[in-house]
Amino acid sequence: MKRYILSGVIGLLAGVFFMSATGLLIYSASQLMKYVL
Amino acid sequence: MSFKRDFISRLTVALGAGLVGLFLAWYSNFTFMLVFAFFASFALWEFFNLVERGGYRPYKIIGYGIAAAFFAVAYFKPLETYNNFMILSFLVLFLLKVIQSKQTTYRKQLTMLLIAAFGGLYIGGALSFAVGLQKIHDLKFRGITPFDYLFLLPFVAAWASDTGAYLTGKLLGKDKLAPNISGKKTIEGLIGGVASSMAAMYIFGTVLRLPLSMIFMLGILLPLFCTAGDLFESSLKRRFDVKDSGTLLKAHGGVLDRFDGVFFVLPLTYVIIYYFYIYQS
Repeated sequence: MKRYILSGVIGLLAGVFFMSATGLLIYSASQLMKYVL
Repeated sequence: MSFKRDFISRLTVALGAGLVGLFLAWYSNFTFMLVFAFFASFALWEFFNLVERGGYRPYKIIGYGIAAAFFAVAYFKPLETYNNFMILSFLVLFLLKVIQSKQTTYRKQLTMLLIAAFGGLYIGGALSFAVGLQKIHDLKFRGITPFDYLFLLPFVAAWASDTGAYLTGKLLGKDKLAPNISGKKTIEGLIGGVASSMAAMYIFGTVLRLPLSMIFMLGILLPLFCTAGDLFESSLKRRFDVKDSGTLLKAHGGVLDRFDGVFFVLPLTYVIIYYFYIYQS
């Protein structure tokens, strides 16, 4: 049970980290494309 | 391959493919459709390879034709026609399955036809929903959100779920989820994947200014469907006794391996967003 809760917590943190990194990347890419196109 | 090298290889491929996809999606709706059609044809090629290794000889040209038809209808026709076409295809496939199970004389030919049609629908049909989503985006979202990428929603959900499941599974994985289908998947990984996808959906949905009820629905349902898609593809591979569907994307395996969750998540995202933004308005 404890392991499952820990998995949830790690998963949430991974999701926040993943989305922050992906979001930053998408935003940078869209800014770059605005500039290029 | 070591954990670190494997992870870096996965990340590099994901970033590279993501950037190319974003560039083409940004460029025009036509290039967007072409990118997805290309991915679908490659995934379908992998699917047919997988099936052939299982000893079947499906009518591949029919499968490719069906996939192309989905993309053409999604791109050139209105959303209502696309929806009707999709429903009709499901019905035809179901009817074909019924006939195949009853028929004895042409059973082999019907099986080959059924596999080809199934491939066209499972891969071409599912990926063509991205074109449908892009259409909804053009109708309802363009200029409203600061972030013009609605079609990324299912991909982000599926990949966040995969990433969370991979990390928690590696760190804490112990209890097997479905040992008969996939020996690697664990319950800890599933919980981590669902939590990760929920967090990602909350952030992405808020940025896209989606209603909270919809974010909640997407956050709960998408990771579950993603896992179902993963398991479905694993069961296909097990059925045909294959480990990886291909090696195009290095550590990710083939296109089928990487997009397995997306094949289930994309249609669901389309249905939810269509219901909230088109059907209800």
